[in-house]
Amino acid sequence: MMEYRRRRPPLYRLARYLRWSAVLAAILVVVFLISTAVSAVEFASGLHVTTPKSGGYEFNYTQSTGFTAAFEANVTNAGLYPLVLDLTTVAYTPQGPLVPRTTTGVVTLTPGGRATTIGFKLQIPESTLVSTEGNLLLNNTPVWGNVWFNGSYAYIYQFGFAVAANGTWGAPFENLTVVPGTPSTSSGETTVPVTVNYTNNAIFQLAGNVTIQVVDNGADCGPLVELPVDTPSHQGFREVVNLTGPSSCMVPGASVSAAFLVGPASLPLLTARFP
Amino acid sequence: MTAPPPPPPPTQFPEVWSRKHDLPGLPWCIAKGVAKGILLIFFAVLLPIEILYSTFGPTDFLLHHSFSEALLAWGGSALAVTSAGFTMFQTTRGYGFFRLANRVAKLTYQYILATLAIFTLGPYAFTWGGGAAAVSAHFDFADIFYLFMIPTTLALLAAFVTLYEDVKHPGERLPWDFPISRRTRRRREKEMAAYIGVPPPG
Repeated sequence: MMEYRRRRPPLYRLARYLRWSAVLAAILVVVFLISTAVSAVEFASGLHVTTPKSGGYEFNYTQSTGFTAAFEANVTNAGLYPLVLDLTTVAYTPQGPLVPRTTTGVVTLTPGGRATTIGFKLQIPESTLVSTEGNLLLNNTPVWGNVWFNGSYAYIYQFGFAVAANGTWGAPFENLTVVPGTPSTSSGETTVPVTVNYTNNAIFQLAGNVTIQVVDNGADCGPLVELPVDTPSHQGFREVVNLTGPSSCMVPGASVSAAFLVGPASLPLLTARFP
Repeated sequence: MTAPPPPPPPTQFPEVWSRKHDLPGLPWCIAKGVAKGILLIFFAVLLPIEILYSTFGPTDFLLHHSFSEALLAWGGSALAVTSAGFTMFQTTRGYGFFRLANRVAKLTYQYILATLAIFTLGPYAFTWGGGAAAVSAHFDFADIFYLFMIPTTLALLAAFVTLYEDVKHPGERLPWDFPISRRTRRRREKEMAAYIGVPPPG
């Protein structure tokens, strides 16, 4: 009977140790998976998003940077594991890229209830908005856009989301016409009625000022008139504005140029010749 | 009348007393193996298929997965058959082979599941003012299966060592895999004590 207490053979011991290691590893894997599930529930229940900018976004326009839309949010990860995110977008028109490939970069939401800022800035350069191939403010150009979002959670779960869209740009000054009428002279001053006509095809209400000025041989000539516009989405606009100036400006061959004021900047719209 | 002479003492101890293990009978092993196989067919084949198709359904046109019914059936059956096999042949030299076959099947099955472990949603197409859009999403959980391949690999190594032991030293593991039970040991001690004419210990 004492023979049963002798030491186990080496191969038997080795196989046993390996089996125990396998069981231990399996237990660790299961515990880790359970902890990821618990962490996901904690993350979802403790999710807290604040936006430092009003409404979470900010639109801006300058001649140097063009049109920019900045989004920013602070997100809190109350879970046990990090959440890694990466958001990318790109948009094209037939003339080329409308919004160059833009990404948030890899953002890691660190666990432990700390807030992480996610920032995203879309930029449309002025040269793209008012390109020689076609002014995007006037033409309802087709646009293709892609937004995709990749993320990973707890190192082992990967997920993604993608939106592919196509449609028309929705030009705010679609079919803009600026038609100078016949000049009339009275008391040494010449007045020209100019008819401004367009349709706001953008998804937003168009509000601001359109400037109209007579130009002669490329140089400003005569006064600049600001025409306030406030056009709801998908509605037309038609108004006649009188330009008054020296009769030397209001001659056949001169032109009327229109521009849209965005803050301190001015976006050229079109130029129409006098009849 | 005189009493008949006592029978001559046996020339050697009964063989059963010198055994170092208490092997179960083959019918018992086969019954255990069959029961295990049936349980595994239920848990590794029928249940996964039922869960997968009752949750997502094969006709769901938006949510896609790549786990086919055939894959789950073949993979689960391979695990059930090899697992039943090593239980049936636990007392023989075929044990190591079936154990190794089971771990190889499990590792392969986990790897195949890992390569297919992705759920995709969509693309869901819709139209909006003057345009069209398509939305899609995916969820990839392959790493879960890759993680489970770590313990399976360790178990595969253990099975390989057992196979080698069974080939090199047949029966070496049996005294530890099937030790003599306390009840059997006591019975044998009594038999031996009666044989040599002394009271049993204890």
